[in-house]
Formats: sequence, C-alpha cells, structure tokens
Amino acid sequence: MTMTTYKVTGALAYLGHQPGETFKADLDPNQERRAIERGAITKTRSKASDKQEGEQDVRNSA
Amino acid sequence: MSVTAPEKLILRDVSVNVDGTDLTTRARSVTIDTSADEIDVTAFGGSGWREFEPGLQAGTIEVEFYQGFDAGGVHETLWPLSQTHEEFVLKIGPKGATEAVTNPVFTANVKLFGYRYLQGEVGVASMNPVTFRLTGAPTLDTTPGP
Repeated sequence: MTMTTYKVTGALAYLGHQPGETFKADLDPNQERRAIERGAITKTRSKASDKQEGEQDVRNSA
Repeated sequence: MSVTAPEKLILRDVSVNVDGTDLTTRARSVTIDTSADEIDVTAFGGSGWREFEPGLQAGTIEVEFYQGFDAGGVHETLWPLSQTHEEFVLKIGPKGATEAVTNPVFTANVKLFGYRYLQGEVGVASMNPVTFRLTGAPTLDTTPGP
C-alpha cells in the first residue's frame, strides 16, 4: 500500500498526531483535500513517487 | 466482603474528532441520539394497551463548541463542512480517543447542520452548538486503529 507523508500544520491534532509532527497515511482523497484546504495538514511527500514536493525525479530527467 | 461500585460515568475526557481534526479541547457538551420512530401498530384484539414497533432510525449528534477563529480551529474546521454539505467522519469517545472495550468510540459518517457563526452576549464565551446527522449506521470501535 502506498502511503503519503503529511505534516500537521494546524493548531490542533490531526488523526492523533500533534501539531508539527509528520505522519504517513493513505487518506481518502476528499478528506485529504479538505484537511489541506483548511490548513490542518500539508503534504510533504507525494503518494505517486514518494519524493519531496518540488524535488526532481532524477530517473525521468536523464 | 467487597462491594462493587455501581457503573456511573462522570464525563471528563470525552474526545471529539471532526474529519480528522481533534476538537476535544474546544467542546463542552455532547448528545448522541440514535432513536427510531415509534410506530403505533395497535390492532383490534389487543389487551387494551397500544402496541408500538420501531420505524425509521435517525442519528443526531449535538456538540457544543466554544467558537474560535484560530488557524485550523473550530471555525476553520466546521465552516467549510457546513457550506459544502460534504460527508465526513465524526468520532466521539466517552473516555478519550483510544478505542477499548471500556471506551467504545462512536464512529459515523455524518453531515453538518446548524452552524452558528456567533452566539452570545457581552462578557460571555461565544458558543457554537452544531448538529451532525448520520448518513448511515454508526459503529462502536473497541479496537485501536492503525
């Protein structure tokens, strides 16, 4: 199962994780969208390639 | 001879989780009602007492929150849900958020109704009593999740 890494950026805990913590989860897309829109979490690693946001995928750029 | 104390739950640490966000420290009262309609099915030949059967079931959860506009707080969590009418998961634990046989966590898909942006008067805390309505049968989780 592919997991996405998130950081809790809101003032309150999210799914049992305290503000500032990172966690891996396979969130429902709508739940993920709502949480990101309201600033509760940010995505730190994408689900597809498991690389940092904005990070180049070296394998494909060669 | 040992005497077992009667079961009396004093609410101290009810957990309230809305769409993943822990709003426990922003809530002060909770009411969960999953009553069914009472259908009168009294027929001739009875004993003189009305007979009832349960009809359609509905679930209503009322939570009274302290209103606040902090980033990621009560308003930022609940307002979008009240406007888009999306379905989301609500979890309420009688004795904290950790599921256990002695702490069955009420878990349900719900929609949010009855949002109060501001309510109160001078010198008192603004409360935001909201109503969630179940969209299906709830579960009582007794096993900690992943």
